[in-house]
Amino acid sequence: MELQIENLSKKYSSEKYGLRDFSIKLENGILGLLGPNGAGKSTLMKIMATISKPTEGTITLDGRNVITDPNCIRKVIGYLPQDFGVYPNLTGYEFLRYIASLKGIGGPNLRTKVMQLLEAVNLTDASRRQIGTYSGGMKQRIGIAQVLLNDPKVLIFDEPTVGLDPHERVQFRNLISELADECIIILSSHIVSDIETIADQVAIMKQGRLITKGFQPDIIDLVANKVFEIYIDKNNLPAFKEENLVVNTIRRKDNMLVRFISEQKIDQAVTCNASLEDAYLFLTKN
Amino acid sequence: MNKYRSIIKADYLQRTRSYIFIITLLASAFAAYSFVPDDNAPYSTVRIGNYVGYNNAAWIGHVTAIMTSVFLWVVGFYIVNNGIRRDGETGVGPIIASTSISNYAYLFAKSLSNFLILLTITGVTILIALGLVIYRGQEYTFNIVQFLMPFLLVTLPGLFCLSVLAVFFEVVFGNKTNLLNILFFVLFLFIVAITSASNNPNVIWFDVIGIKYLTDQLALFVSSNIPNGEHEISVGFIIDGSNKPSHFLFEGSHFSLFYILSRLLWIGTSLGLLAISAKLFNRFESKRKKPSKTKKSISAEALEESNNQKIKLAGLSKTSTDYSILPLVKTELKLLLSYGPKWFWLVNLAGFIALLVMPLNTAHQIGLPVLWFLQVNRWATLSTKEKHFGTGSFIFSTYKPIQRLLSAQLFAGILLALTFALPLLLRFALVGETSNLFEIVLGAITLIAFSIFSGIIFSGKRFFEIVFFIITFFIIQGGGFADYLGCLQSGHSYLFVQISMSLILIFLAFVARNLALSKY
Repeated sequence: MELQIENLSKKYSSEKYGLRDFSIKLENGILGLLGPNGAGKSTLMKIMATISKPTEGTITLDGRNVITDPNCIRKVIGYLPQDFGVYPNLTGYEFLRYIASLKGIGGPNLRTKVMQLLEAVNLTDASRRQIGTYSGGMKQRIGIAQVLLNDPKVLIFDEPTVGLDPHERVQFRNLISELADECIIILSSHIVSDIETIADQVAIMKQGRLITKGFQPDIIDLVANKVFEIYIDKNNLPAFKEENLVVNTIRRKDNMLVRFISEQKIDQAVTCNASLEDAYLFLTKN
Repeated sequence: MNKYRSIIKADYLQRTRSYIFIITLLASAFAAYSFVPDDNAPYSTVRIGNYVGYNNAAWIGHVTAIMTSVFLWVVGFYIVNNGIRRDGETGVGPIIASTSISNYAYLFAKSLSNFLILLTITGVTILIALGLVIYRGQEYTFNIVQFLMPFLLVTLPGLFCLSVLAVFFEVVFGNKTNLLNILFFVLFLFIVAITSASNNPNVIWFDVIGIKYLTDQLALFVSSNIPNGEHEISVGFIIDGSNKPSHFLFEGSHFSLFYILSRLLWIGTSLGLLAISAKLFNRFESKRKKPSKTKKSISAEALEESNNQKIKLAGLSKTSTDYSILPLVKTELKLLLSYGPKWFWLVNLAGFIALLVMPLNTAHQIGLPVLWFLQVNRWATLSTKEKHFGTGSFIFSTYKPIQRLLSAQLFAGILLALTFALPLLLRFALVGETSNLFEIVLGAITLIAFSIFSGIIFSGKRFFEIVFFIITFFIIQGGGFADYLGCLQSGHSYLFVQISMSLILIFLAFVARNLALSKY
């Protein structure tokens, strides 16, 4: 399967763009979307999920235009929005049956499949309870389960790990890994470590534009030999921040350990292995 | 004082910056215009026996104040009864609760904000009335005291009480909006019944709306000045037919100290009610139905185990495609049925039985409209729940959401409405009145299509609740123009009107949903 996005823009007013001239080509595998708030990640995902229309550009799925014929992708899409709700009076089981009906899923095995998915997200015990009684994490897991109802070929996860505890995040990562061979998966997150662990490729966005896209090592290479650590006095930190791109500070007893990115090495600074987070901060802050 | 001003201002701006408020103001202006009919109009609004007053400042002031009081008591409650609930829904509530503001101060500010909203609407009606004094005036002495006093002594205190009552109901009933709306409806009918049934002057102590004293004054004026004149008073939109009223020159009312005290007493009572509300107010403390399972701390072993745990997606059962809307209708029906408290089904059962035993015409004109009105929140959630519960992103990214989901919602709503009407349908079938059967079916389609259409267009339930309340009220009063059920009018031509109305509303519902989705 091939999903091609070409020159996609979403314009809210003459000055304000949600997305600007965005192009990317995706095949099976996991693409992690990184970007600060307002970068356009959710806007892009909403357009891909056909619940929002772009002002310019096209999206094609195996050559079929998704913008003019949204139903062609709706049959094979699984979408987990960033902010979603549920009907509190329905049980977890009933809610999944409802979403299955909306997705056009039926047949004698539907009940079994719904129960299997509830088990997969550890909600078997709560399946007969009204969703109004669920915790935030349980609701998020119901959201993940509904994504998989229709054996989707294109999965879109907008901030999927919000509300999940460490245990649940690990399970989610396992799930995604298993799906990646046969599906196109796009997921966004503010948590760089999530993307670092899950995604094959990474796309970094800023102010509605795609800044860079590539495999993780290639993106990390952009800041190779530019990441350093240095101990400095606490009082010197504000001045240091003005001259360097500080990515992290750790308080010590008498001073501070500062991780920063610089073109030139400073005296007493130690060169460090660059990470995706360093590259992300370098690209979005510069 | 600053804290009151800030809360009132924020609340007022939040409410008035909406389409629904602009529509309410336009509707109020139109209503105020219709309160003072010209000589050739086929109806009158306030009539004493066979008499109405010449259009002068005193008469127009009295008529407009009476009609505004009734009109705003009918719809005003539904306009303002969500101030506290909205704070809870938007998440502002818990922030307010964590500040030092007292319950009484917060609720008092909310009441004043409600009052300000109603005052704005009243202001529009006063301006229109003033215009009508000039435009339709038949007698040119402008008695400003007699023009304004009815508003000051009748309308405004009544609206202040209504503002506090809305807060009290919100505090007591919280999110049980179904119950809240219906109990107010019953309370309003009760107030109207006791004040219009009794001729005892002491009844004004029970007349929170305040119009009883004014209507008594009008009747007294007619009986004093026209010795043989009838002085039974009618208020509402009264179709005159061929019975055109005669005119008399109204000079104004005498507002006794006794009456002014009664109005002050109602304001005092409202403040007392506010104090009770402050005691009962939970400061947005939400109650969870059941505790969710306790999260345990994650040990390294557990994390390791999670890492090794694989969800067996390959083993998931294979399903087939099924694009029929029947499963959707079933779930929509279940969602409709699950709305509101369980005990309320006892009330519905009583209504169901009443439709079996009431005289047929009464069941058609009063029983069924009331029973359907009791489900107002059920109908109102049909097309608004996606927005209210935030499920829209799931739902509108599925296969053909408009054609399939909207059709399912229509079917489910109509099916439930007809189930409520079943006793009446059976009785009409038994007596062979098939046209009435059709009219009820068309009424159900019109009602459901209108609820869906208005829910989508106005992105909420409020407009539908207000309009449905007005329609139900007028049907019960015998107002033929609101007759969506064909209980007051019949014949092939009216059937054609009903069919056209249903089809237009269904078409509009689909167009509205399409438009709403394209702007998502």
